Amino acid sequence: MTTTRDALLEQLIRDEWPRLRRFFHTKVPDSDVLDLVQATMLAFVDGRARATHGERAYLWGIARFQVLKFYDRQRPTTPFDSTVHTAMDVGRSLSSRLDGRNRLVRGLQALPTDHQIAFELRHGEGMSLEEVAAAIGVSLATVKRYLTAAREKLRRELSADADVVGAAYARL
Amino acid sequence: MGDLSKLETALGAELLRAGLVPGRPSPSIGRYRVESFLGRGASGLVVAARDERLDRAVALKLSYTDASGGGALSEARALARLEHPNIVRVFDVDDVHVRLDGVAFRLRVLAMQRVGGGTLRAWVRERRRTPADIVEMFLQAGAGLAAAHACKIVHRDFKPDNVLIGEDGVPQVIDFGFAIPALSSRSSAAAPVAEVAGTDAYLAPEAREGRATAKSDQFAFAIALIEALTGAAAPPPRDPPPGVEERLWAVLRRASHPKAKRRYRDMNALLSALRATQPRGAGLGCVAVALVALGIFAWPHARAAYANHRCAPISGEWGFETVVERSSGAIPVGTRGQYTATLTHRSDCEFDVSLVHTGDTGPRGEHHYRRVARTDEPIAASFGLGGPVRLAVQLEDGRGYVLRFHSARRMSGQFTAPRYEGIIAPVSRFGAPAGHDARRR
Repeated sequence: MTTTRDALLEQLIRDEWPRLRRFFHTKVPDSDVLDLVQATMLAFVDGRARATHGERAYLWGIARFQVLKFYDRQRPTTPFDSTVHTAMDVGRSLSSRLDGRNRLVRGLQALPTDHQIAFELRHGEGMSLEEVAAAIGVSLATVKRYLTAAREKLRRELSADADVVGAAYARL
Repeated sequence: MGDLSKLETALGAELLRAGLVPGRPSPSIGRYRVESFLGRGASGLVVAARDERLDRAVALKLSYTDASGGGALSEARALARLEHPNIVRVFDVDDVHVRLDGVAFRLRVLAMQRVGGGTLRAWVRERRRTPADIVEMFLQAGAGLAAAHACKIVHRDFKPDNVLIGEDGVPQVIDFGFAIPALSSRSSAAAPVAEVAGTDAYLAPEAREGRATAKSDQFAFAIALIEALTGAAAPPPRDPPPGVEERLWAVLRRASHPKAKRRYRDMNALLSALRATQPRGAGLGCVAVALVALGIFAWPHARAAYANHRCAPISGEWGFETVVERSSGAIPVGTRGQYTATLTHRSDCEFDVSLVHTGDTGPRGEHHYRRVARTDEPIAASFGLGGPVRLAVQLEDGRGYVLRFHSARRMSGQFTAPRYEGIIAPVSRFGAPAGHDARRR
């Protein structure tokens, strides 16, 4: 049992860690990335049986949940609304710690968190619209709306198309 | 950026295994056992680690040896010799070959003191602060820059994120001489988005052209201070913002002048000008800056008398002399100060000390008193420190005695300054202090 669990964790580290690293890298301070990845992997291994929409969507759903939980801890008095708030809203201390990151990261952070996640999973990780919808827990139509809004804002902010930004994200 | 991601991915994979798989040890880099990530800068990863040989917590900056961001090894070693309370101490620097997650890396490993607390940027934003408090904090960070410049080290990437405020409230500058001068101009539509550096605002015009000098650090320092006062990291407009004095603004305008030759001669000149704008009382802090530049010498007879004791039984009243070895500008190098010290044994090697400043002699024999009072003012107050100051005195083979100040609190109450250290030795080694009876009374 333990061996199976360890083997699964090893596989997750090998296959998903690089993706999870950049996912969290654009959302939380560097020093918190590993902790959140670790929590995501443990939750995935322990709850895999509940992955009704496919394992990939389940994993990214957990990753999203970890981010929202992290943001909630940063601003305990106001519930975090992932369709409205951005990484920049989380608090001065957090955003200030992110200041050293590059313009791409800041451009992504300026999006509402769910728009950011939808954009990164779709254009950075190449996931299907259905998988993105399942990961965020919204309908296909809502994901499309998020993506349209994200692409427009990024084009305005970064003067770059979605495929350029997505490719830059994948190199993070 | 891609290369650093490779290192971060490999090291992170090893750290995840250590965290998730029982029995897997944390990865080692040279003699350091890596514990966690702390951050990622333009030129390297910063990780928390433990020096297994010395059992000491350190922060490691990891960069590629072949990358321009790695800096010259000789420069790194020069930095390792630089000791200043406002500069994060560099313990060691070395190039190592290491294999992480099956990938071979050749890394430059810079081992630094691990500082708790946040950045200067976070400190500024933490709560509403008066301009005097902000300038006071920058004066100390600036003293670190000035000390580095004295050793011919240019920072090249000074910004509020590169100053850490320790848990004792003392600002310490990090990342000396290792940052890549960000030569790219401001982002344009043609520039690949991932390559735009985030610290453009602090770059002096000449630094953008790859000619960074100590005056470029002065520019960056001024822009960072302007940002702390106004919220915008930009060249200052003509008129000062509300609440900022005209003369402080004039100093900052000069220090951030686009033409290097129009700025101050050096950091010391800038710091002196800034200090002069500080309201009375706040200025005491500048003398605390000078304190760290003092080396305490000349403790007659003590070594011979107590050579057989690990901790010298030196309760009583003493005289000793200080010599300014490095200065932030408030007191000239070579100035000698005379004091009497009353030491009271506390426990083991610790003593309470009351120090009274009895005189000062300038480098050319002139009497020199600036902010340091010549009266019976306790030294703690003379140096902007509240008393009593506690000292630990330990024997050190062949060198004399090491004095370590700790529990010294600044008058402003902002922080404690526990890291002053000097050596006392037989008078014969340094020459008798002129005009002062340095014998035990």
